[in-house]
Amino acid sequence: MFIIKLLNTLLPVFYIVLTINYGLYFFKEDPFFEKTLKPLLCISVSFHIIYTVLRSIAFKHFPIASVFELLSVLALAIALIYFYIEYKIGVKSTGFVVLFIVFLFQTLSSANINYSSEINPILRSSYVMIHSGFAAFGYSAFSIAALYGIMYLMLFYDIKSKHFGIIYKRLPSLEILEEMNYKASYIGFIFLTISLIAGAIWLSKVIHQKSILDPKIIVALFTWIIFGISCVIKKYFGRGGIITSYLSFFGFMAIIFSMAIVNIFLPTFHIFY
Amino acid sequence: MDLIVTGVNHKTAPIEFREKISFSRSEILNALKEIKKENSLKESLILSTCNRTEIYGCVNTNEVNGEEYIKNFIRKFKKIDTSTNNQYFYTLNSEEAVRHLFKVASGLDSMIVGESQILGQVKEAYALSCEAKANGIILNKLLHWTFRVGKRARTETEIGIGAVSVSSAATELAQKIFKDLSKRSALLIGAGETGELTAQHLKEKEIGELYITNRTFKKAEVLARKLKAKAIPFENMEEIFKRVDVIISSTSSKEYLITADYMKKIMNFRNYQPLFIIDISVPRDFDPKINKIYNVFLHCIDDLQKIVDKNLEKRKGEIPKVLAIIEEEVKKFFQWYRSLKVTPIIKGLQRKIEEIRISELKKNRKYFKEEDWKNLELLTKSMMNKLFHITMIKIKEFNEDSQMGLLRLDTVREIFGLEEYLENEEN
Repeated sequence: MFIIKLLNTLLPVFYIVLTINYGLYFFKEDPFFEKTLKPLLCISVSFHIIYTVLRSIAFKHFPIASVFELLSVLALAIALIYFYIEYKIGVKSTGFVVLFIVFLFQTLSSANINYSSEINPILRSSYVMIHSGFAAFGYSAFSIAALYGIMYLMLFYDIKSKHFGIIYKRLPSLEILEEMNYKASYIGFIFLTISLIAGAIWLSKVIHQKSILDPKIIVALFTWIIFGISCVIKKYFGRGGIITSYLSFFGFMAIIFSMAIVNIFLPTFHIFY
Repeated sequence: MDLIVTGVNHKTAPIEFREKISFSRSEILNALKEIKKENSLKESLILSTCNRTEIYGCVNTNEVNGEEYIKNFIRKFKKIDTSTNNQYFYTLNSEEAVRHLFKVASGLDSMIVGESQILGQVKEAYALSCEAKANGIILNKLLHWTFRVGKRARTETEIGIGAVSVSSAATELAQKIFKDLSKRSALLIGAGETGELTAQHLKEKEIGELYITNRTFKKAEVLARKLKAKAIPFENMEEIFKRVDVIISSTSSKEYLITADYMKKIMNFRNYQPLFIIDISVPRDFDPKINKIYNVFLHCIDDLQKIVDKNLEKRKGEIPKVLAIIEEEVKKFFQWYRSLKVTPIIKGLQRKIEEIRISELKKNRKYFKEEDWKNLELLTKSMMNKLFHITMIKIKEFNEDSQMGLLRLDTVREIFGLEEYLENEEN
C-alpha cells in the first residue's frame, strides 16, 4: 500500500516535470531538453503502468470503478497513445499540450482517489472490464486526435492569414499534424469498436431489452460514427486536413458534453446501473 | 610571438576593392607557401570570401611589424597599390584578433547576421593552411577553438534560426505545409532571378521533381539544364498544375496569369490536395482571391519579406547572447595562450635550479663522507623542490592576470636569466 500511495503522489510530479521539459523544448527548441524528453516519458509511463498494475492487484479490480480511478487510467492511456505516435512519427513539438492534459488528469486523480476495494458488482464482469478499459483508451485516443485537429486548424489558418507567430514557428507541418490526427483517430476507432462490442454482448446477457435509450450509448455511437467517418474520409477519399480536424474536434466536444451532462444529472454511469 | 589579423571586409571596403584583393584557392596555397618562406609570420592563414579577405598570423619576432608586412605582402602578391587604399584595412592584435575571428565564425561579422556559410569557409581556410603547412601550434588551437565557438553560437542561441532570404523563406513555408519535400513536385513559371533562387533552394531540400516553364521555351530549357529540372512548354502548364504541389511564379506578365475561377477548376480536378503557390512577380501573376480557395496557400513577395524581416529582427536580438559566449571563450583561449608562455619559463626555472644544485654539490663533494652523500642529495633536492614549488604557484597565478601577468613573467625571466633555456625550449 505504501508503494501505491508513494506512486500516487509521485506521478503528478513526474508529469509536471515532463510537461515543463516539453514546454521548454517547444518554446526554446533547446537540444538539451530534447534529449531529456524520451527518457523522462519512458520513466513516467513505466511508473504509471506499475502503479495501475499494483492498484489492480491490491484492490482486485481494474481501476475504473470511480471517476478518479478512471481519470488516472485516462491519463495513462493518453500518455501511452502519445508515446506511440511520437515514436511512429518522430515529432516532439506537440507533446507539451498533450502531456499537460495528462498532468491535469493525474493530479485530479491523485488528489481525490480512494484507497478502497469496494466496487459496483457489475464491474466484476470481464465483459464490462473490456468494455470500460477499451472505452477509456478509445476516448483518450479521440482526445489526442482532437488536439492534433486543433493544432492543424491553428496552423492552417495562420498560414492562410499570413500570420507567422509561435504556432507557425514551432508546430510541425500540416501534413504531419494530419497524419498524427489520423493515427490517433484510427487507434481510438478500433478501441471504441471493441468496447462497444464487449458492452453490447454484456448488455444482451444482462438486460433483455431490444432498445436502450441510454445517453452514454447514444453519444458513444455518435462519436464512433464521427471518428469512423473521419478515418474513411482520410483513407479512402484522400480528403483529410481541415475536414477531419473539424470532425475530431466536434467528436471530442460530444464526448466532453456527454460526460459532463451524465455526471451532473444522472446518478449512475449508464441509466441501467 | 603575437597573433595578428589584417584585412578588409564588407563594412570597410567597397566591392571593387574586395574583388581586387580576393584570393582563389590556388592563390591562397601559393601565398601561404610564400609567407612561410619569408619567415616573418611563423604561422599563417588566409580567409578569403566574397565579403572579406583577411590574413591571420603569428608574428615571428618583435622586429617585424606584422601589419606592414601583411599589407606589403598583399600589395606584392596581388600586384596592387594598397598604400592608396590604406583606409580600407583594419588590423587587430592579440585578444582583439581572436575575438574578431570568433565573431566571424559565429556570423556576427557577416552581411546577414548569423549566416552559416562562413563557418564552412573558415574551415576551408584552415584546411588550406594545413595543406600549405603554414599552420602551427597556435593556429591549430585557435581554429579548433573557433569551430567550437561557431557551433556553440548556433546551438546555444537562435542566431542562425529562420529563413533570411525570400527564397529560403519560401522553402521554409513549403516545409510547414508538406512533411517530406522529396515526395513532392514543383513548377517554376518564368526565368526570373528570385524564382530561380527559390527553385534552387527547393532543389537543395531535395524536392522530388522540378518542372520549368517559360513563354520562351529555350529559356526554360537552359534553366532546366542548370537546375537539373524538366522544361515544359508554356501551353502545357495546365497539365502540370494538376500534378504539382508547389508553384513558384516570377514572370513579367502585366495582368493575372491565373484567375480564381481557373484555380477552382484546377483544385476540383486535384481533389483539393494542398497546393502552395509562391508568387514573387510584381505585378502579381495569381489573383489574390485564390488564397480563399480551400487548401490553396498563396503567398506573394511581401508575405515572404515579412518572414525574413521577423527572422532578422530575432537574430539581432540574439547578438548579446553570442557575444557573451565569445567573451567566455576568448578568456578561456587566452588562459591557454598564456600557459604557452608560462610552461617554458617553469621548465627553464626547474632546469636552472637543478643545475645550481648539482654544480654546488659537485663543488663541495670532498667535504662529505660517502655515507652522508645520499642524504645530502635528498636534502638538497627536497629544498630545491620546495623553493621551486612556491615559485611555480606564484608564476601560475601571474597567468590568471593578463597584462600584469605577462610583465611579471618577463621579470622572472630576467631575474633568473632564463633566456638561453627558453631558446633551447623553442628549438
